[in-house]
Amino acid sequence: MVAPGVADLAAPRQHGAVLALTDLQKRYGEVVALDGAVLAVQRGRIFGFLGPNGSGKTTAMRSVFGLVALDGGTTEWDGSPITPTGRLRFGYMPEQRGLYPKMKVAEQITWLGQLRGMPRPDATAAAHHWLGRLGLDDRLDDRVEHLSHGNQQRAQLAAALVHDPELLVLDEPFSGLDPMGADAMAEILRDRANSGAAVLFSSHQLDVVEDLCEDVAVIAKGRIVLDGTIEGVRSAAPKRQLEVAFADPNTTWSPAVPAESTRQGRGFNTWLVPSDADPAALLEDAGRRGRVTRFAFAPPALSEIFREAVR
Amino acid sequence: MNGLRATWLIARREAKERARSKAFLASTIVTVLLLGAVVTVVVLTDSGPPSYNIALVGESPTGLTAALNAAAVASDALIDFSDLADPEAIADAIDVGELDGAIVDADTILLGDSSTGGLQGILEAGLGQSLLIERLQSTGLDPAVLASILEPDTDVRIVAPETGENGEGVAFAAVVLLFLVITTYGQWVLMGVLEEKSTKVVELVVSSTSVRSLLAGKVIGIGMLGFAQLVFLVGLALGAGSLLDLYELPSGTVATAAWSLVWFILGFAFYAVLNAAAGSLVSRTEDAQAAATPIALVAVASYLLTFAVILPNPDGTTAKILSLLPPIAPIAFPARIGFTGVPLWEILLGITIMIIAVVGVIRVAARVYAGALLASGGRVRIRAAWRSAGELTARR
Repeated sequence: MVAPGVADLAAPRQHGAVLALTDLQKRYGEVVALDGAVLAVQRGRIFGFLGPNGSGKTTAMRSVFGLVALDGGTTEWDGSPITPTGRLRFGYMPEQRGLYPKMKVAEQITWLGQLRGMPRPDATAAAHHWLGRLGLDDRLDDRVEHLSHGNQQRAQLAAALVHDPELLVLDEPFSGLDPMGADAMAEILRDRANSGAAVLFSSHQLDVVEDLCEDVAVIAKGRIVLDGTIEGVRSAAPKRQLEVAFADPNTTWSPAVPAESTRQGRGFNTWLVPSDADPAALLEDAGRRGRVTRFAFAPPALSEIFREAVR
Repeated sequence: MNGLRATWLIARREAKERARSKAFLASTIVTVLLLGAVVTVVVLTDSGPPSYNIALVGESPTGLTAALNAAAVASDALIDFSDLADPEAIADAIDVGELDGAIVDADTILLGDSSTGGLQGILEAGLGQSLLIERLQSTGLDPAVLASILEPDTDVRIVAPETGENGEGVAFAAVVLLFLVITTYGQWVLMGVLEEKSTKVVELVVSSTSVRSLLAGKVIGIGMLGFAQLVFLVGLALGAGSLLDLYELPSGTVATAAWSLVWFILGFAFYAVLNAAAGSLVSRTEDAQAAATPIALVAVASYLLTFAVILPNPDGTTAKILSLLPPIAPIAFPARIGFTGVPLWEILLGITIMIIAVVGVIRVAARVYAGALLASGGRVRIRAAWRSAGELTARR
């Protein structure tokens, strides 16, 4: 793995990538949705796509499915431009969920499987398998409109999974899920990646992304501002999070390097300090002020990096 | 996957889901009832020649009864003779409508208010003729000579083209039925497109197939359902008529019915594709009606023109020209075919023009549909849809 980070934006990691979105351009009138965004997703890995609202995430994901007329750029799968036939191997969960409200759940998922080229018996079996796994066994013959919001969300996921896609593109799959639902979703995404699928999803839940993803990219104003593995992105961050706690809560101390205080509390303080600061020197300096009961010098959390990146 | 399979899957889903819906059941029942009403009107208005009930009182010239019968036949009517002989009873009977008229003492004709001019003519002619015969006979004229004078040996030939009798009824039924079915199912296409757009399911479907397949599948699926309903209704009307012997259908009925099916396909395609384009431009039900109003107005205008201009004079130049116009043709042609014999070349010309129009409409409307379908938000302008469709197809 090449050392990733802000530095290799100009040359994105194309190596091993099956989904490659290059130099995407799209404007809606005066609004620029995509301004040269580049994205590379690999087989067998989960890719977290982050960005503030309106930064171009959804537009980029829709471009994979030909749902947006790009002003420029290419969308490639396995080295060739994506074709309508190729898309049948992709699974999609759009930002705005939607199924036919009056159609029965199992019939609808079966139908979507057939639409992506599965023979009817296979599609039926797959629909039942996924709906069962998502806990909808007893709702198979219910109309979609009679399902609760959470169950509709599960049916929507089944619609994306029914044909065992090689690429999963999920727009905010965790939004609106309860913690159990989120766990089930995470497990399914891991499972899909383990069986070799490329998984791309967007989210605002940075802790989920940090837990689940191998790769991550941050988009802001239509451009990718940060890109790499989770570990790589964190270690390449220009700041480190410094945590110091003293036995005596009244001890006052501050690092002797340019520091941004992020938390001041009864003897437990955190700062963001330059990544080239020397942790040994900082600990020694703090020890001169009082007995240190806790000391940490680590890459910042993804949320910290995200805020920094989109600033 | 090839587009045909996707189109077929979409068409089958549309037909299946809609056939199960209450709306389909309701529309079938309503159409059956309406058709029944139309058939009833046809049966009642075409219930054979008018029949009059009359009485003869007092002195009557010999041969009056025969002369009246002959005059009635000549007027395509039937008369029945009442036994009433009392003048007052007759006046009362005419008053209450039991009698249509009477001849009193061979010099007075009584007619009820409800009597038509037809009966008056019959009574005058019959009475006049029998009086004439009586007077001529009283001059001593040879009855044989008299007969040859009164019944000249005239050769009658009918040179007018043979028209299906009662064709008006069938034409009327065809117009009503076609208008109903074409507009009802066209409306379903409008609502179906809107449903896909407002529930956002369109993104999911189009991510797995083309916009073109979705449009074609939807129109074909709903059209199949409409076609099946039309076949059912026509079969019901024809079958019930001949099985129960309720009414005798004019000779041209089967041809009219067959042509109606052909024209349904063309007319439905024309209006349905336009409706699909209208539906794709909006995101809410309230806006859908507004977007489809121009199309509905054209359909209603075509319907009214067919009734007001074409049916009264189906062979006139105006009717011929109007019925060639694509929006009117699907309703007007079956009506004209039911009413009078329309030359085959005229039908084929109409169909050719219609097919050209349908192809043109599909090209334009499909592009608007493609461009507007994936746009979100309120109303999409037709021009914007047209432009963005061009970009989409170039890139897909």
